[in-house]
Amino acid sequence: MNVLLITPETYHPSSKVEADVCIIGSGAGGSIAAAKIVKKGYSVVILEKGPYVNQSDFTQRQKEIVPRLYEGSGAQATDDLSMAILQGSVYGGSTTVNWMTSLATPDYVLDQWVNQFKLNEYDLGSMQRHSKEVSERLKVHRVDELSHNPQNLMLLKGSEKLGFHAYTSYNNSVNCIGCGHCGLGCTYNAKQDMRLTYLQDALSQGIEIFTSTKASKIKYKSSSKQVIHAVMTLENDRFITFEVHTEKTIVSASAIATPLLLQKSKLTAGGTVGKHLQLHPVSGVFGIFEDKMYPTSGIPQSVVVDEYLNMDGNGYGFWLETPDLEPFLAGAYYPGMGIERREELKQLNNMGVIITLVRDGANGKSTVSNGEVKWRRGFNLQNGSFSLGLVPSIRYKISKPDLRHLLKGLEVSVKIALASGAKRVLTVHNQKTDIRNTVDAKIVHSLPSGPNQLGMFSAHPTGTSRMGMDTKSSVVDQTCEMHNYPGVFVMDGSIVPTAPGVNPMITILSMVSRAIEIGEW
Amino acid sequence: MKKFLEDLDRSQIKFFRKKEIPKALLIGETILGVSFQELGLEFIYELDSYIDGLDSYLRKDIHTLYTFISSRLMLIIKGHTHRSFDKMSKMKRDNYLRRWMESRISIFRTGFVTVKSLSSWAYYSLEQGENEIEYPGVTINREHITPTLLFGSQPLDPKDYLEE
Ligand SMILES: Cc1cc2nc3c(=O)[nH]c(=O)nc-3n(C[C@H](O)[C@H](O)[C@H](O)COP(=O)(O)OP(=O)(O)OC[C@H]3O[C@@H](n4cnc5c(N)ncnc54)[C@H](O)[C@@H]3O)c2cc1C
Ligand code: SF4
Repeated sequence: MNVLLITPETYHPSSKVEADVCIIGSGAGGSIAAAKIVKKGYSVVILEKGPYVNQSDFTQRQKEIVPRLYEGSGAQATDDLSMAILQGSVYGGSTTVNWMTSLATPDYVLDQWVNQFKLNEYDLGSMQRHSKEVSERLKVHRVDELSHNPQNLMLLKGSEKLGFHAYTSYNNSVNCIGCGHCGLGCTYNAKQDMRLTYLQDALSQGIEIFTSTKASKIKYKSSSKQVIHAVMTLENDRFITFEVHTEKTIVSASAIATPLLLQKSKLTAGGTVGKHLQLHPVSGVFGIFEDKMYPTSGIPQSVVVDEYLNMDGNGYGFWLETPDLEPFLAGAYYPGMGIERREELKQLNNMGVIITLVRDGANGKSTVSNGEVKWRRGFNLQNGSFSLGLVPSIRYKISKPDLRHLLKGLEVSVKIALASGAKRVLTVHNQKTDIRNTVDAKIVHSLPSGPNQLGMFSAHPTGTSRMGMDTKSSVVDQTCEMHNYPGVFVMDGSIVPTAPGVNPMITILSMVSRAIEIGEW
Repeated sequence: MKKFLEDLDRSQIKFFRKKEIPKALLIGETILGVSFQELGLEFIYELDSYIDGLDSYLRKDIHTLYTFISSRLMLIIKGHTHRSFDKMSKMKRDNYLRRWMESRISIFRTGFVTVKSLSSWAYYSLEQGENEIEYPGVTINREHITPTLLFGSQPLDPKDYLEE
């Protein structure tokens, strides 16, 4: 058996690699696909653009970790820069740096997929089975209630006081010590990310994983022959190129990079590759307390408030959590500027932050396209830049109903923080707020909240190569195979047909697991 | 400023052009509320090294932004002044950048958010910035007596349960 983890240090040049299946990307989708497919007897190669990392790389220092392990050094954003899009670009993908919340896809979301997209294979019964299986592998469990950090307890207690439904969440960890640095990778190997679960399983069955290796193009020859151009980055910006000759290709590069790769490879027939981007837009409030809150310590997102998930009766709304607040996020999002802001930030340990995550797509039609990922050149009106060459472009406009939900989320967050004892609450609007009583919480609805007037970010892109039966409005079928390019599969967040309305890792893992079960593997 | 920059080690600078460095410092000073002397050269090294790691098309855009934000034309239109960016009073510079932040034209806000995020990144990545916000920071190589922070009027201070 050939067990190989190939990094720039261990690579022996060869211009051609052959495998039955080549998987592009080692994140949630790519890892589970590798583990399941290698088990069926196929030879599998993974190409991962990001570096190989283990415990010793997780130094807990944002300036060492973020530029190295995040896509675009953490600076990836929509064209108008109104929304940063955080993604891991590293061995294990975003799961290596994610905040561990592990929730199964809600039943009403699955019903929508069955009814509107005719995804009969993804009904509640089937998905529950797969969610259970992947959750067991990831050691998903309910967080011990004694482990909430002050910030999460603030969210829980405040919600209970106001009668909002809140619960202790689930995550994928073992012996987590609550260091609070999930976003920088787990130094303690407590987080059960892909590196420690499905990639281990895949490696133990004998696959090859090339890290620091980017797939730059897929040459589609036929349903049983594709050639992938790979570029491995070596030290000092040197690189080597080679080809992977394969019978099946699985693109698992994430909902941003997958459509870009498919477009570069001209695998775009049908016209929907890159469209229908969903982001679960996030904004937040800073509550300032008398007591210490230590928002940068402890287990992130250990409480969920789901009271408002169904605001208009069609399954759209928002939920509340608390972030893993590394200083760079606090610095970027804390409102205002100047000396006053500096002085306030000195009280960071007395702040509790609540984030609102919106299930976007509430426009009423699930076919609506608020967002798109594509290559562009020329003048970009969104940010005033000009480029002769092609550059990746992410366009996203939050719809009116989604913005209404987001603002309602901020209003509710303000009330919860105040109910838990906050002296003052600030939203992340440019126009500075300083809310001291619940009556004033409504003010959030009247503040300018357009692009870059209200701070927003996303860590949940999905939908850009979505699954469906209709070949005109979707990209892949129920087995994740592309409608127009048999032999090429998409298995990552891109396939999720509508925003799942919960943190998406378990949804992506379960969908891929199901797709492989029903596919001809 | 000139005197301050005499100690700058040019060999550590990969991204910034000479003329951009005072501008980046003054923008940092205005947004962060930390005087450029206090920001120190480390701020410039950190900012430079971060931007240098970004994709080339972004680096190009950031050069344009630093030039644009401190250009005479912009200062006249948005700053209502004929003075150069370096020579404006602190208050005028503050007002000028606030106008970018609050502009009704979204492209100005985009520019503002970019320099705010970059400046915040650099400062709060430095030990000085971390100390200022009393960031509990690294837990490696300290023994954890308890994994949790308990809520209450006197929650545990991470410093108490993280033994040196
Ligand atoms: C900070 C953060 C916190 C999060 N918190 C949670 C949470 O608490 N709970 C939850 O459910 N979800 C969370 N998520 C989201 C979750 O981790 C992602 O939804 C999930 O990992 C997406 O899986 P994926 O397979 O689509 O892509 P990813 O996991 O992002 O993996 C894609 C991989 O493909 C690689 N790649 C890209 N292009 C190429 C190429 N051309 N060639 C080779 N490789 C390539 C990338 O480097 C990356 O490693 C979080 C994400 C982030 C960033
Ligand atoms: S909080 Fe827990 S899971 Fe997250 S990095 Fe720290 S020890 Fe690991």
